[in-house]
Amino acid sequence: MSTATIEKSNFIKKSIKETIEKMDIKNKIGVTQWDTDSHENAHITVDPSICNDCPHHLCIAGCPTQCFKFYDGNMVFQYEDCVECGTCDIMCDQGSVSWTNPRGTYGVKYVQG
Amino acid sequence: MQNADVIIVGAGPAGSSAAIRLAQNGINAILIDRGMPVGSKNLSGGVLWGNDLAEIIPNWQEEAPLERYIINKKVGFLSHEDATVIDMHFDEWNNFPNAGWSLLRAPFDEWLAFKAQEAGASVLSGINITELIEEDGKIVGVKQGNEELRAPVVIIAEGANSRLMLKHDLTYDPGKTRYDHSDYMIGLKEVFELDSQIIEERFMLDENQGMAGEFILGNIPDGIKSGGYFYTNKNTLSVGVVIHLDSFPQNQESSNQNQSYKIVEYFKKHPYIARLLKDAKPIEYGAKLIPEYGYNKFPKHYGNGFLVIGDAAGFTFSNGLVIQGINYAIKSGILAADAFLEAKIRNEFTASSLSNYQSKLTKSYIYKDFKKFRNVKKITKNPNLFHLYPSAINNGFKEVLTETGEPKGNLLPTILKNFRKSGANLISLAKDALNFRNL
Repeated sequence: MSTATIEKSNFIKKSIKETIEKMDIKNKIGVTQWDTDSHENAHITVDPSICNDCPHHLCIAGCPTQCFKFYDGNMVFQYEDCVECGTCDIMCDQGSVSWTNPRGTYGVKYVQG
Repeated sequence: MQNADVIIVGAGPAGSSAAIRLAQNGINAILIDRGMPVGSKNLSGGVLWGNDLAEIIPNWQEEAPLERYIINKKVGFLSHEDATVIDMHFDEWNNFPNAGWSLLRAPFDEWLAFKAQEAGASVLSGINITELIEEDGKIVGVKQGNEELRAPVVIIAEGANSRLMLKHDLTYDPGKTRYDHSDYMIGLKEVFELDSQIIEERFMLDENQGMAGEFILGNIPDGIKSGGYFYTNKNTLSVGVVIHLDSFPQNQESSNQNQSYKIVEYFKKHPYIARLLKDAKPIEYGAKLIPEYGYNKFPKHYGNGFLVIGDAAGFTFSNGLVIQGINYAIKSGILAADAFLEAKIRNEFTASSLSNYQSKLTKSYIYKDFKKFRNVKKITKNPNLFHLYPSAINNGFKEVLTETGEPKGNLLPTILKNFRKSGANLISLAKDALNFRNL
């Protein structure tokens, strides 16, 4: 491979990586529909005091809609964008996540599925 | 007081198929789903293989809301920028009954539940069953809060991450309060709109013909094991990835860097995939867990007053290149219904009377598949499959096929050289070759 091609391919890889790093998942989920239940009926609750000592924060890695974020040493959770996959329930082995299905009719509403 | 002969929790392909078979035999069945309408909670990559549904709906391929029948199958290895893709055309797949159909689960599952209603089952949507009623060691009904429904048999068809299975200790590992990440994958999915004519030109398809592609992803950072899929629908595309949950590195730094939704982007932005998505407009995003318990870790499939079918029973099969579940769901639903019909003749719904279901499963292709492939995780979780083979294959072919003005190497030695260059030693290659027996 010539030097020019190597440089070009590294450039492409870097640009893809940069675009992905900058992506905002919240833009992407805007097309999906929800019927969101009230806060007191949130189907997932998180105890952030436990999360500070968590070695892995795998909830953040797994969640497909970025419901978990670690900001300034605090776990911030919001249930509204949840698609009810259950990944955080499986990923959290620290006892912070409590997971149930939303009440009947509430939550994500797939039109395509 | 009994409200029905059978209560089925979950109106996916498993639950609805069971309800149809039961109703066709005059059984009073209640089919309950937490989604409103039925189907709105349901998602999968989207190809139904096989013809199991014909047992209960003979002309389903004409009647169901299906997208395209698969005529073109692709299996590919993607490295950072390169792709080697095996492109298959099986002309017989044009013939009725077609081998596989792409579909979208919200309309498909709503239709199947409607067929259950048409056959005589009662369908209740928008109800989330939180508990089974247990009396004298027997399941005798279901509960939503304080409301009860009672029947001699409950069929659990709740899907992946079943709450009822955990709550009532029916998993492989009694006492657990959540499932293990080594037994689950997450599937993420985007649906894109694209004019049907453009789809047909781009993928070289005739009207109604479709393409199903699965790709091993060698371009994902930090050792994360993931595959991509790409299916054509009538005027949409189903595109996404499946990730082994136990392959995320277990440290905070990685978790804040490598989120599952970024893996979808690594797949979509691969140059081979990106050009297939040109001008396609995103219209829905979603995700679903995929159980991968395998033959050695099945949960309970029956007991006093209950049967378990579909994803809740662990009937999802993956060999790294295909993931199937809808067909097993339908088949297990039908077998559970048949087991109930036999138990009904005896008018006895104990574990031993319902154990017919187990013998039907054992004789069916469901158990035969799972038994035969019980060690398949040795391949599907083999890090080499993701982080060595794609780049070695692509670099090998590239080296053989690129004219550099130097004398060419022979094909196989060049590919082998690239395997070694990518870090494989002969012993690990030989071990992998032995493991491929499990495929």
